[in-house]
Amino acid sequence: MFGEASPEERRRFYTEEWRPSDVPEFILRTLSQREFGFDRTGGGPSDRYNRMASVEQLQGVLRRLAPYGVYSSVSLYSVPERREGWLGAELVFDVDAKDLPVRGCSCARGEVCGTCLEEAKQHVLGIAEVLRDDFALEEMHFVYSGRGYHLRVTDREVMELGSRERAEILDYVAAGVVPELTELGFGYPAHFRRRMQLLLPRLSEEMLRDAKVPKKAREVLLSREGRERVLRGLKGGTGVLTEMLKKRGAERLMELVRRINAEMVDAKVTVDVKRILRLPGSLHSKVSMKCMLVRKIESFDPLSQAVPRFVSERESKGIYKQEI
Amino acid sequence: MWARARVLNPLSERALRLASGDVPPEARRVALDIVEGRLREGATARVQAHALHLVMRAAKLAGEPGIRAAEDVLRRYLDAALQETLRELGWGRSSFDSSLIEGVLEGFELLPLTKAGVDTREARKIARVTGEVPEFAVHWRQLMPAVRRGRLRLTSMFLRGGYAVLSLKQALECYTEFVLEGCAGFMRAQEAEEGEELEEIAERLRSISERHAVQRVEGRALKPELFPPCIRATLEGVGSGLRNYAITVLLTSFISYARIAPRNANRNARIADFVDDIRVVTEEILPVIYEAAERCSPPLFQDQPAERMNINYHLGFGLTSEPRLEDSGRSPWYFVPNCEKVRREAPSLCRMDRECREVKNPLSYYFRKRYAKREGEQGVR
Repeated sequence: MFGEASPEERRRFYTEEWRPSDVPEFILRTLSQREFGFDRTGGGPSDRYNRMASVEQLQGVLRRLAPYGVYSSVSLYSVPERREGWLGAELVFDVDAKDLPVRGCSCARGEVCGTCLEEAKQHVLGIAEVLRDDFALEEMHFVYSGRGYHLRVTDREVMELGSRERAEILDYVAAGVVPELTELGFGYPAHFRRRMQLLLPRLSEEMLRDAKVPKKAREVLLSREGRERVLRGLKGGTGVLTEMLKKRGAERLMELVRRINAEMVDAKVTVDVKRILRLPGSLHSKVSMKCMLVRKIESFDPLSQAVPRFVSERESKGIYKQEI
Repeated sequence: MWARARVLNPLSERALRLASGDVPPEARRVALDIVEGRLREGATARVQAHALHLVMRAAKLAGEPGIRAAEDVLRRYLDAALQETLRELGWGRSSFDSSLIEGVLEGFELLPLTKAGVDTREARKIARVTGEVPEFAVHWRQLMPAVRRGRLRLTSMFLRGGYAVLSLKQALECYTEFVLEGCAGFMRAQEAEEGEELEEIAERLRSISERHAVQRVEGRALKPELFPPCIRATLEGVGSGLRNYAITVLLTSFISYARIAPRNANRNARIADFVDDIRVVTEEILPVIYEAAERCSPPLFQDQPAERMNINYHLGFGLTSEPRLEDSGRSPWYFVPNCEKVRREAPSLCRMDRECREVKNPLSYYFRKRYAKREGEQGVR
């Protein structure tokens, strides 16, 4: 990542680089119904309860303030400046690369790199697939948040859901509950098994030990042959787990997978309908990257496509490059 | 004929139409029967619709306990009415055609199984695995009343292409929650009205509510004077770096376990296993935690309002702003951290006194002192 943006760099970004068209259409069409929050100096978005009547007004504010962070609500209100008259809220999933509980890189907690950003992207794609296949949702917007991804769903069916239903959908798509019935080839049980297949090769001995998976089961899971047999068997159900890991081993493993799954997505963002999220198009000043709508997520590379111009110039001048 | 003779959903267009106009004299008698759990045969659909609306209007008159009692009453009515309807449709006989039920559940759209793209082979497999024969598909949105009311989990359903696969039994359960949610909202939104015909029904609802009033748990009232020093320090309010750990982790677990005192609780314990009344949580446990959070500097919820949900999560209700007993177990009910962990996470809270040396967990401190006090009091007596 690219270190913190200076006030001058922020000013240059909002005057020279930022365009009103950087705000995605799904936000533009409801701009005046959203609450806006500004983090003016890096201490958090304490300047809240703002309404922007138009994107031109927003442009004026951004040029004048050159804020550290810009946020808009996931909810729509009839009176956004008082957060009154709730009209509905997007369904949001937040996957932050720095908080992934299992990562294929050697980043320390809180740090991110191309590898874990790619993992966060793959996870968001997996969530989108479940929302599309099982819930038939279609209006899904991928946003690179600066250190991970937001998946923002705006289908009519989700807008009026309350926190409780959102939590339930999150449990489903994140595979955050051990399924009661595990043998079916579709629906939630199959989804949980797919998550298990993805995670199994990534589980370390330490993680299995911490989850109190018995020693013999650990040996099976950590040996190449044993793991491959388990992975093959999982295609048809979880019978293979009790067969190879015994009842306790199977239960502890499924609980570990459930816990990891639940930690992959920031649940508070999904269930909180009063949340403000970083505005796509704005600058994530802490890491000097653009938070942006991603149109072609499969080929998106944040380290080349979400880098503001001032960072490239900074690097060409050899000023600094800093890992966060 | 049966479908026209019985009113299942008091808020369906047909029922609303039937319930408009003057209340027929026998409706009050039928309403009282419904409240007492009797299904009167022979009442016309118009009388039934009026009777159900009388029950709902009377519930409003009886206040919130009346509304809760009316929900119980309507659930019983609906269960019985659905059973009767099924019987009339030939349920249990080989000729029973479950698709007939589709036209009966007013306001609820049941679709053929193929809508969810489930073929016969898959249906057989579901039946084998679940023990229930899938017969219908419904859009997932129609499951939401049952989800909101804690009666159903999406993760126990089979979803495909936006549709959930349901057996007849599940479809009826979902329909019941759909109707009851509508009725509960309707009752709460209404203006309370006076009237002799309503008063008698309201009185019955009040007495049902009292009968249903759940006994408080055996756990004992909290005795703050016996709390260990770390908890007393937390109750006084703590500074910004410590607030989340002190309030959400330490105090939440301590107060809940100290108040409920679950016997033989294992690591999967749920509050609902030991408490029958959510008010123990909302009126006795949470206020203590909230007051301590308010005394923090700055007050915890001032800059972290979502921490309220996190507290509910630590109590085992999942991430929710409204804990309900049926949600108990959605997340773990976190046990009180050991003294060693408290010392490591929040060293400034650990102000050991003599009794602390004899325990390894703040909860043990409290229970030991409480036991000693009780023994002492009995000795004096």
